[in-house]
Amino acid sequence: MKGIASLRGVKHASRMHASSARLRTLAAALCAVAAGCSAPGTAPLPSEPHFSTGDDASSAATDSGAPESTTTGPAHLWTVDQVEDSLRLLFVDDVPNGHDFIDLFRELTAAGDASCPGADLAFTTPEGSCTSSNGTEYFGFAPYLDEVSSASGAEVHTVAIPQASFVITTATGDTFSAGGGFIHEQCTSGDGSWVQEFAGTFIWTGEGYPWMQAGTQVGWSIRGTRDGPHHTMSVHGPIAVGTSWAFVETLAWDNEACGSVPTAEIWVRDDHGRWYDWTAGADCSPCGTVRHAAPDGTVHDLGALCLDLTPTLEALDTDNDFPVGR
Amino acid sequence: MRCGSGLLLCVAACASPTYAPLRPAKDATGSAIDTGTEALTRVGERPELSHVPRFYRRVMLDLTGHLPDPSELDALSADPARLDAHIDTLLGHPGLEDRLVHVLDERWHLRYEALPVGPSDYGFDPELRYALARNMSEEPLRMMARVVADDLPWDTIVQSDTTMATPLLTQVWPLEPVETPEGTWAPTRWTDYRPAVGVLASNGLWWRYNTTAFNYNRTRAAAVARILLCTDYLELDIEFESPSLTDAEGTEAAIRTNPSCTACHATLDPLSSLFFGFWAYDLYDPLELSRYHPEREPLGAEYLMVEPEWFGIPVHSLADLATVVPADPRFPMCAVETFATGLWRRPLTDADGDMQVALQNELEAGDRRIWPLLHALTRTEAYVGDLAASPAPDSRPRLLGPQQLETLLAQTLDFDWTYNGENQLDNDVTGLRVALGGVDGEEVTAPKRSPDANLALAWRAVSQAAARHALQQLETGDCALLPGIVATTSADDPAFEVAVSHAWQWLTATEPTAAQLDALADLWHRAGAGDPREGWVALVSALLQDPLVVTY
Repeated sequence: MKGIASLRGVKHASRMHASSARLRTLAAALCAVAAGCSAPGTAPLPSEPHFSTGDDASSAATDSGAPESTTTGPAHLWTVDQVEDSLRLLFVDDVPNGHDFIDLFRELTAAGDASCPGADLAFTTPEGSCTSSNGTEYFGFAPYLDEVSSASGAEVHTVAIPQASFVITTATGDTFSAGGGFIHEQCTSGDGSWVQEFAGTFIWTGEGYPWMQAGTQVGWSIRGTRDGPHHTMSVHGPIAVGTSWAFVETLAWDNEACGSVPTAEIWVRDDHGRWYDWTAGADCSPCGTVRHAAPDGTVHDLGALCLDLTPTLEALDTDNDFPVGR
Repeated sequence: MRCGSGLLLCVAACASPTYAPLRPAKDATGSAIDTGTEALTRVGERPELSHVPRFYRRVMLDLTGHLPDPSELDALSADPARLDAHIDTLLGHPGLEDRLVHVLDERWHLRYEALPVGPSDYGFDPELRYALARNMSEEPLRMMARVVADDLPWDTIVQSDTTMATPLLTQVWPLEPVETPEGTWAPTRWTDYRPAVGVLASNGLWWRYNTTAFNYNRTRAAAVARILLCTDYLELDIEFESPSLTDAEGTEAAIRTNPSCTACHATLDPLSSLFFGFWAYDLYDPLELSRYHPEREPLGAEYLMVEPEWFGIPVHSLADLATVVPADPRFPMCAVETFATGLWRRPLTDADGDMQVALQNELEAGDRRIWPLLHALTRTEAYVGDLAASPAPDSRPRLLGPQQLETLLAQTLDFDWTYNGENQLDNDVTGLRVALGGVDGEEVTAPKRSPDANLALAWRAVSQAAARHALQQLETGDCALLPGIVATTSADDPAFEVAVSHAWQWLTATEPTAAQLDALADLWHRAGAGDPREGWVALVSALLQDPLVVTY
């Protein structure tokens, strides 16, 4: 199966004479992200002086040369509640997923016409954007494909936009901006194994899909199986929505094991750049400990956090089933 | 053998098998940088000068890109002892920042044009190609130049949460001005929560030194070592041993275990792992590239299978570089090397070791502010060179670079050679930057140090274009270089000698001899025999190509 990484490094064809809508939409997208950034726990931008002299640097060198942080003492660390808030935003309330991404793409490209973006929904507009008869504008690269192929006797259904770098602007001015890629492949027989690579930056300014409204950066690699009633799935990679940042080291789920409670090791980042590790599921419990490892090696045990991600995994499993012909 | 460009494959073995900080093999002075008795060594008095105004012209061109005004030259001629007082005023000169951008770029190589995105990616007109490329690539250079102009410690360049940006950049990058811009460039802050590590959190730096899916930021780590520490992995003496690299796993294993590989990768990879907040899944998408990605920081340890370190010192994140970089003794030493190379107009050699120590002491004595270092550099024998009263036999004048020539023409003739929005003295597509001796940051990485046919032809082209522009000014009698002259003025007119003497003094910081004036009058007569306008075009063109003008 192809990976997004193998597609990196392919330079776009020249995009000459592009519509000025690109700038407007990018600016709007960045504004949307900025709006999502509006309520950090602490002021994100220090005040004077503009160019610090090092006196206000967040850390200082020790005799050994190793940095000794002055802001990572326990009093400054996030609480378990703050870690939970971030985890809930990312993994409970509204989970980023490829299904939504493809759904929105299909919805917006289906609003076009036969010549713009075309019946197959894919579009590449190196000479400038195209605008459909209903006023939707398509700019960039979206080599969308939805196909079934045979490999080693197995039938594989592929839904992909391997290199997504586009802006779609609706007639009402909403924009869908994407930079990255999506590849979903699933066997239509056997154990129903499926893989998904979903990576990039995605922003939607219209109604619905709240996780994209806040601006999302993702680098997920998902592996799953659907062997009759027995479903499994594992998720790995970075994820950010607005100003919540996390890295999924392990998120493994088996609907017939541990009462469907997943095993999780997720790292959450605060706006000072510190990472918190939450590990749960080893004893089939949704509870685990939140820890922070300081640069000097000290591990701060911040307390227990219980968060059942079973519904999240079930939803991801269901949503990311792409039946042929859907 | 040397480490080749294939750092990932590591077909090379580098000098040190340990995690100890690397030092370039060529560096004979590194261990000498220390405290103790050498800390007292300072740069002494400037050698006696043969021509003070001409020397001041050199200092001004090096530090501001500008020529001294005729009135300044007159004042200096009247009181040469005030030379250093004149030099001191240059810290506040409006040309200082612009000039330092170019001095710094001779090491940083950021002002290059093959950036991953272009105007069409933003819906801009193609004519904005040059402006966009220059804005993006100069962002970190402008920040560093501002640090010098504000007389702040050099450590600030890796500690600041503020960069410099233009209104154009704030449209396309996640930036917000911290104050109302007074000019084109203004202090600006990132809004995407990137760490406050100055140039190390700069889009301009990482768009120039980008990476690929299988390079894993190693290019970036090598660039950091070269530009911040003057330690170039590619110049390390190595022993060659070729491990089996026929598959990805074998390669990865060799990188971690083969001594020929670990010698470089043991320090390179832990540094590379710090830059994954700038990791993009699409290398050419402006949305992906423009923003910092905090959530991707852990990818470094995962992809490279190492914990982050700064040359053997464990660090937690990119933010820690604000501390460990200034603490690295190679950092101030490299600042000295960077500015000494820029002002001496030649690479440092082993013979410069003692002076390098003295210069570093000047830097430290000034709390690592660059201005005292620059002033000290103007007192060195290597800087005075051919303008010493007793010059060394091999000393020779320097060649004007394209930015200095551009500024000279703007200052004296208000001439700005632009075509399709592109500065013809400063671009590589239709312009003459490289031909004029400049650095393109990719294939030409050091300024031209001796004249050649290309340079002579480029000077001619620029001079002729400037002379045609001067003629337009002369048509209205409004040419600051040739006051009192109009296009129809003859060389026999008494105003001729006055004006040409003024131009000569302004351009060269010397008084013209009678023979030189006669030669220029003769040229005017021959070229202007049919049309006096052509006489002035020829004269101005010749003046601008005079060796005393194009050298300093």
